[in-house]
Amino acid sequence: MPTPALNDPWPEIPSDVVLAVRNLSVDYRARRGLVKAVRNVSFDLHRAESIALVGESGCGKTTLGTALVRLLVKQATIRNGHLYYQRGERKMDVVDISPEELRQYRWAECAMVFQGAQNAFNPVLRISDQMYDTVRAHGPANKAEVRKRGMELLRMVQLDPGRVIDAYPHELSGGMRQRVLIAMSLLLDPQILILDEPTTALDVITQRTIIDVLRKLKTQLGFSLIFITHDLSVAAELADRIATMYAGTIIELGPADAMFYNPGHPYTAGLIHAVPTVTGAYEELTSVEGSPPDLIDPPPGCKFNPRCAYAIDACRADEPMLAPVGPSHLAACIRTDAVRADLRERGLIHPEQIGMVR
Amino acid sequence: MNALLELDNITQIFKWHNKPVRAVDGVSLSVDEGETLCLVGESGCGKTTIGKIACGLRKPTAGRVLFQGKDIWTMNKSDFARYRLGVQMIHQDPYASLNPVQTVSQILSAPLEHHNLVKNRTHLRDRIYELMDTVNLTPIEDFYDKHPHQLSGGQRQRLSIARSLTVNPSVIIADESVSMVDVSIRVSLLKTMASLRDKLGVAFLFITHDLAVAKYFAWNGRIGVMYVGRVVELGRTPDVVNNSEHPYTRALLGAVPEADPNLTRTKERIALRSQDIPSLLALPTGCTFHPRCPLFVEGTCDRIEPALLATSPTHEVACHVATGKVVERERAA
Repeated sequence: MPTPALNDPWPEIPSDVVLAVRNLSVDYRARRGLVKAVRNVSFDLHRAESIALVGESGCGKTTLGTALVRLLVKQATIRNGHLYYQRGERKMDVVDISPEELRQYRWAECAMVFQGAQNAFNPVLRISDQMYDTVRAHGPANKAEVRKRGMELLRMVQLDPGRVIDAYPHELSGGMRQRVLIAMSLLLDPQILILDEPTTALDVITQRTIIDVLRKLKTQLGFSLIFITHDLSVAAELADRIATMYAGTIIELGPADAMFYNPGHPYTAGLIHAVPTVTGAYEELTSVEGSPPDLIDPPPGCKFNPRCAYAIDACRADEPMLAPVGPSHLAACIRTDAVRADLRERGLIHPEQIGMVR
Repeated sequence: MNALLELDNITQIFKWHNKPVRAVDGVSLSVDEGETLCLVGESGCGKTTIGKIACGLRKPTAGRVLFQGKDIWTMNKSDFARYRLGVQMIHQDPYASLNPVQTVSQILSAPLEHHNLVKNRTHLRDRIYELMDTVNLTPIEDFYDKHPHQLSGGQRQRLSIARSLTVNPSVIIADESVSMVDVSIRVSLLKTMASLRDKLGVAFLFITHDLAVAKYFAWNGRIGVMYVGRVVELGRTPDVVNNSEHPYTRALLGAVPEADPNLTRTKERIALRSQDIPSLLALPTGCTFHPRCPLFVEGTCDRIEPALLATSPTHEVACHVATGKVVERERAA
């Protein structure tokens, strides 16, 4: 556990920010040394917004997600940083709260749905009992009330509550279980919902239902959403803002439109140009060649420089910080201008499309 | 037209608690030399079973598999051996499909030696170098003596491709071969496979759940859309993705999120009447899609199973409404 200074003042945080992540770093102890899985991550999560965390496997997106609910495995440590959470008058630094406060924070303030958790229900309990257990673990609970609230939420995730509430998990399909989980995660009315790969391993039409359900719930209930995905199309569909992670840190953060049509970091641009769309004409695509760096002994300077076509000597010297590259749009790249000029010349970016729809 | 590999009216029935499950029902497909045929569909639609049947890993309950015009289950031993070499498979999981105790060179030399495809050690080494170069597993010296665990997912999958090429196949069956690698390197793997097709003339039966990948890989080929064991639409890729005719294909295409915010917000969505894929144990009567279909016509769709009819010389659809003709499908025995 880190030991933040006792007298750390509560920083200046706008009132519409529900969670302010500041300089968060997480290490894993490994035989070869410390794996710096999350490095110096800072961002604000606003009320009722959705942020997508995208990046390759091993970029630290799941570690960051689990750190936000302090559910890291025991080999991991939050080396430094703060998680300033606020809901009305309730303010806390989640990095520095008692175990009891933490227990109340989880699920009631910030709920997380893990990857593949639709396969991790207790197989011998009916859905209603799993819901009751959840509520009871967080305070006094009334079975009839939990059932009523549960059915209400099941209806909201477009399930037939009468059929589902007394079902056993094996009686439900994967997509239905994922929706039950989303309903359960909202039982205690959290302000933040974190979803790790919510649509991975689900079929296309089921995936569509989950996306639509999440979008509708977010408007109805007004919670904030952080979802972790490797699938850029899900991010395009559901995110207000997108954060690209690379080698444990956020290297670009901006509105979804701007990230797709005018990326400021060559890695984000590379990811976008590696994904085909389904409808429309054939488009030539290019991979991001090379592999992600070793997080125990990362390269000096910008961690992306060994794979970057635009890298110059300065990129190998210092790691760039996030800096503005557009309205509410940050990128950690000193070559943004050169990257954009080149991409524009090759017809690969379309800034004019920003804000055209919705 | 010379069909290299042909599936003729294939039906596969599994037994589940003594009840028959029709996993594949009367599917006919053919792959020509150097052609790409993509099979897409949701889980449980039978696409993997088709792949297994096509490469002879499973004998179908009914129907014939023809390789160069001959039925593989009745052909003589030497023809069958030629078929076995001619049709190779690339599996989905590169972490499970490579022997962990063998090195890259051992993995590649085993089939070459077993089938007497190399004359001597030098020839063997040359051939391995050539294969590794073909799949861009370079610099070769760095990888030659490595074990699979020392390779990334993408590199492992390249090794799987190289292994399938050792025996000079004419058809490669790739079942979800890129679904486990990161998006950032998926395209370069697809490009490697496309270069085998373009340079070596290898035909592909490419099985995927990802319509975007299907479109990218099979743009010059064809796509077959499967639904609970049947092919419901088959046509050239540009026609299927941009002018699909079957309501199921259209629903799938409308449901896929696009990696382009404006496109994904404006694309046409097809509302289905039900979200549930029917159980293979209790398939609906008539057209199996009718309980979900937005074009459902009572009295026709729930009674008569549509035949796969040509709507143009290169496009076939199994839907009474889309084709405008009510033709009942002939049932396999």
